Amino acid sequence: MMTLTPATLSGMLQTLIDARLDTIDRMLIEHLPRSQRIEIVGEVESQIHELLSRQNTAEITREDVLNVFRRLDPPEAYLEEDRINTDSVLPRRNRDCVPEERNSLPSLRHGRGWLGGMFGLCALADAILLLPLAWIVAVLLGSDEFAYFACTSLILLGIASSIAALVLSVGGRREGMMPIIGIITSSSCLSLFLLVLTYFITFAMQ
Amino acid sequence: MGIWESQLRKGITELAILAIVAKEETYGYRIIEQLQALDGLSLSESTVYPALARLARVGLLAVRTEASPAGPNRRYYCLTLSGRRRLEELETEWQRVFGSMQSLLKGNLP
Repeated sequence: MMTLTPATLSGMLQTLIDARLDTIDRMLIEHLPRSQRIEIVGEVESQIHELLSRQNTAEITREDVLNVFRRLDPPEAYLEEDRINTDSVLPRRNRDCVPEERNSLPSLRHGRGWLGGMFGLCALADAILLLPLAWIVAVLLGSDEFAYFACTSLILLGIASSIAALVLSVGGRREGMMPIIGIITSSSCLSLFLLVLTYFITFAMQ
Repeated sequence: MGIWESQLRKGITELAILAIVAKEETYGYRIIEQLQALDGLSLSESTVYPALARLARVGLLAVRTEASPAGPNRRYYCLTLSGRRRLEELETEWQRVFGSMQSLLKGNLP
């Protein structure tokens, strides 16, 4: 077994090893005092040098160092280990914290976004199908009263659907496409219905 | 290695390390080599070295430094009196749990 000293390793290889050790140190820095980190990193450095010294080569190459690294745990492994081995109770990392959404009723949150989308589509159907249909029927029947009654009712229904869609979609905005559809359709339809209602009121007052 | 197996090994890290160090004074990488030679006790350096640092910090292991033939100084570990007591406690608990699990797995329910 060759005697390996820092002098035997080239500056580049020592830098490579130091970089690895520094990365491990950074993994441990949040939860362990410096003295313990120095001990752990020192053990890893000692192991690296021992593994390198067991390679019966005249000169250590970069590939030799990388081969040793491949045999070791990745630096990220020290994050998980540090959490298990420390005595103190560590605050939970954000990835372990239960997200706020899970604390509420999950099925309701999921339904909210979906419902918002459905209400938005209903408002859209009201605007582009039912309202023109009611107007056509009223024209065919020749009844102004029917036209006012039907259209006003559909407009108010559309406004109510749009508002419901908007509220529900904003509330469940994080889940997929349906709330987005709900927001777009409800805001468009709401604008349209308000415009048509304003026109009806103005027309009725004349 | 599955999560359960991984957690099981980590749970017995302290006992395994104390048991090895109880036999003779030894250093970190040698402990890892001896553990990895035992079927089912393959603990890697990211588990063992933090555990060694913690056991030394709480006084279960005594540490001395000696020049190494390969690289930086080696840290040699041996059991303190507290460490021996702790090993006895863990060994007793291990025998108790192991015996109960053996009994359970053979179908001997209370």
